[in-house]
Amino acid sequence: MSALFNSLSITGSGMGVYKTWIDATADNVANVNTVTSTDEPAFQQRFVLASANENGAGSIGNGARVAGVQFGDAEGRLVYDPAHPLADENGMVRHPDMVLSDQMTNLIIAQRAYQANVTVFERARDAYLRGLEIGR
Amino acid sequence: MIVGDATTRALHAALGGLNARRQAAEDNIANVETPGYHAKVVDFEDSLRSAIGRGEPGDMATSVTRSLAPTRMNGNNVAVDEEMVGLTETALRHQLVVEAMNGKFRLLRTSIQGQ
Amino acid sequence: MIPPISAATVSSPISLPSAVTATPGADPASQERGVDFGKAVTNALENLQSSQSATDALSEKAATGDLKAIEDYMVMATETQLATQLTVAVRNKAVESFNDIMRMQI
Repeated sequence: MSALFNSLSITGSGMGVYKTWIDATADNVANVNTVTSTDEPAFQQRFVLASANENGAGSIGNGARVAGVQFGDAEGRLVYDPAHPLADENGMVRHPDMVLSDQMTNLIIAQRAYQANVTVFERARDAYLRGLEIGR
Repeated sequence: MIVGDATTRALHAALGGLNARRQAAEDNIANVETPGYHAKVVDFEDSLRSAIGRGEPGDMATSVTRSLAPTRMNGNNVAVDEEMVGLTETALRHQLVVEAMNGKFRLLRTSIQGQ
Repeated sequence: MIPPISAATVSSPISLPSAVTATPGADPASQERGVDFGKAVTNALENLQSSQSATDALSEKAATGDLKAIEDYMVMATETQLATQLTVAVRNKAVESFNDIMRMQI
């Protein structure tokens, strides 16, 4: 919003990015066992692309934003499972090409970053409140 | 009225605008899960700036529009983090404007009371 | 708005620099500081009107959201408040001494 309390909107943008990242990770984890047949694409892992809001060279930027969401490999892992109702004539089904532990790591990173943004927000707000008391 | 000078009227108008912004943010946060709800956006700064330039700060108009940000699946486009941050920022600006008004009244009181 | 007090009418009964610098046995360094304080006071008296206008301009910027840093407004407002109180105190003293003189029996 305004340049006066800029730190607040900067940390707000960061919180938005990490919240989107947590949403994407939640989506990935919810679909970690989503099986599709071989004639459909596999569940593609969601990647959040973050980019910085630059203000030109030599000046402080304006936080971060989600530049877009990218989708991972559509091929997935082919698994031999002839008992599965979606199996093709060779007994293969597609599993998404994701590792659960990677998603958990991402979740922890995103959560810590979100909390760090909240801490910065609170400190900046306290600094501004003290600034409003100058001369009292 | 001796207290009706241009700066005081501008500050008073700004308080009204900031109050409208705070109410819009509260509405948006309350409706964060309402399907089809578009966030309200309050803008008064441009109107206030041109009103001050014209010499009539009381002429400010507060505009409440609907945000055109992309919506999620249920048609709702409220970004709750931005609304919370905006609420804090509006509160801080409100405090600054109130402090400015108090400062003006303090000056007048000092001149009148002689202390 | 209350008309501004002109410095010419209030600074004549007071000659600040000589009163402050006539400290007996003071070394040159503290005499330097004394002269600066006197100058600061007379500056505040003379520039009251312009510092009030500057505070008003910064208040309007704060209202429209164009203010770049809160410190700018807070410091200027505090300076103006102190300068106003100083001017009022000087005015009161001047009025008091005028009344004392008027009451003197000839």
